[in-house]
Amino acid sequence: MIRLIQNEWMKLFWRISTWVMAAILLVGVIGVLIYSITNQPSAEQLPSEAQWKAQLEQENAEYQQALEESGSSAEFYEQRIAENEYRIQNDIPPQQATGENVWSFMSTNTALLDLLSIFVIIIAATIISSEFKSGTIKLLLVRPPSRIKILFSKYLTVLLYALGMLAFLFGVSFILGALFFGFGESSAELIYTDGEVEQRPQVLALAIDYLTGSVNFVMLATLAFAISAIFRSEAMAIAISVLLYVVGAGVTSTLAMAYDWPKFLLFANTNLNQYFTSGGPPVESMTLGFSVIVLIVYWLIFMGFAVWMFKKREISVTG
Amino acid sequence: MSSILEVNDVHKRIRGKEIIQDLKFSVEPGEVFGFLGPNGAGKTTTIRMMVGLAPITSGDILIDGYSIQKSYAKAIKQIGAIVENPEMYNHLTAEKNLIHFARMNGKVDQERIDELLELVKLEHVKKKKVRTFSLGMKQRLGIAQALLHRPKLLILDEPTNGLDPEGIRMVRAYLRRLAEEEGLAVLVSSHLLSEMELMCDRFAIIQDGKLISIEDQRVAGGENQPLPYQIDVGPEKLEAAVQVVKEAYPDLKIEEADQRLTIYIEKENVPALLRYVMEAGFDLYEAREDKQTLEDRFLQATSKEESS
Repeated sequence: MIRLIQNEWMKLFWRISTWVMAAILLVGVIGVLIYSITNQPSAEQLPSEAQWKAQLEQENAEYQQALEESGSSAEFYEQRIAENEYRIQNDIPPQQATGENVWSFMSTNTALLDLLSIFVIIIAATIISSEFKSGTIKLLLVRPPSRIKILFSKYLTVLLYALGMLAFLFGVSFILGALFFGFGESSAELIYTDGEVEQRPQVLALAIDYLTGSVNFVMLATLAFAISAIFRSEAMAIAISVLLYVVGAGVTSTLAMAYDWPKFLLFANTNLNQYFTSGGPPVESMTLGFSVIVLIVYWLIFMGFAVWMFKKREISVTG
Repeated sequence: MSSILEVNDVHKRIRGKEIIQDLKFSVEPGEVFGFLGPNGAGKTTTIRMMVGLAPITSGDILIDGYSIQKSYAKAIKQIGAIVENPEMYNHLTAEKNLIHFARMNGKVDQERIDELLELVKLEHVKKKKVRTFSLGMKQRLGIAQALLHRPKLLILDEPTNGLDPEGIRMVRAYLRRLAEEEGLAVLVSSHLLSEMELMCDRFAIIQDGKLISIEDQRVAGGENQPLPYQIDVGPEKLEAAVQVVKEAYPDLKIEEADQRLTIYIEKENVPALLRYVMEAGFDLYEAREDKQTLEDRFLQATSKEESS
């Protein structure tokens, strides 16, 4: 099995597209860096403690007024008011009052997880179908390792690739962030649940962001992998997965406003971050454990189909 | 000697259509066995079943005694194969391709890889990407990857397809050498009869998924069977000659065809016959063995199928 993964890794490693993806990611990080540097307020521009406290108080007054007038979106205003009050009482300056540091820079870079997800989907979609396209699948399958082993070695390679790219994004962001912004005062993230405000260190919030983001693209990569194993079509695998990636969450949350059943949909559960931040899950009865189980069931369905189809498939490469 | 490859009453049905019917033959160690048939006869389908790429509807295929269906891993270990074209990873070097396939059979033996690169005369380009290779070079690399794990049976589907005459000659020479020196059983498919005649010890002719005949070229050239000899004594004297020969050889089968006399006689008795004909006063214009060539037999076999 290790040798098979070594093989897949070798094939991936020698593809130019693999490196192009890493390069694009690097360019993305540098882009964010340039943006952050040019928009970074200088030390004099940063508000003093009195200033930001006054600002938050003013904000709260506005929120209070809006809350009384509109009545709708009450939850949103209540949350903001509670958070601002917590900051004033506990001397926790908001993001814009602390300036950039390595953690806030890395947090901005979580936006690049979208890009990374698409790359991982592409790799997952092509790792099987490219063998069919080139005809090498025949040479691959007339060997002692069983088809299931070959399938899983490819799947694990996709995960390894995802992990590698994630480590790359994380590492580059960390190094560049540390070089340009240093480890300055770290602001804390606030979480509002049921009227209570909690404080979470920025580093932990960041780790949760990256981890939950990974769950999302691992699931989509698995979907792309399964489609590619079942239909042998990389175009279809990429199109469906990317489409779902882009619109899945939106459609699901729209449905979730009206119904209860969307909680069983994949995309209601891929964003595990919803259990760690203020937003909360789209359907109230959902819990972290529920989501994890739903995700595992989806995973089993995807992989089960992939294994079943790949195993019974008659390998013919025509043309 | 036990057979390396045994094809036992194999059937293959795809969507209710019989693609392969009742196929039965075996291949022995040290022989080059041909698999001849027109395009679409089911050669590649059969080969795909032999290497486990396609399921068998009924019957079984044994490799060195192991069923490809029931003990896949043990059976496939004995096979080195190229199915259809020698497709390699174009973006990897020749050497990396071999390392890749070696890993799939267990430990990578660098010495074996070098040895094979030398055998197929690719050691000078081993660091070059396969993308830059000619078809002949790819075919040779394909043979190298098929031989990596020292299989007992080498299966090559249309190995000379798309090769130039020099390439064809080289492939033929390799295969003969491998069979003779290493006792490898080689199964090659082709739709070209002349190919088979030059390369194979025996070959099976298939048509529409059915086995039509198995030709043994080693037996066909045997010395002690009566072979048809055609004797040309000129059309006017043919009748008389037939009479005379019939008197002298009453037990042999004698015919008139193409204005010539045809007699079925053992090779060693041919000189005596000719001397007799000449001494009887006939002019001898030509005397030759009537090799009903394989081409005829091939066409005969296949056309019989079509008319039935």
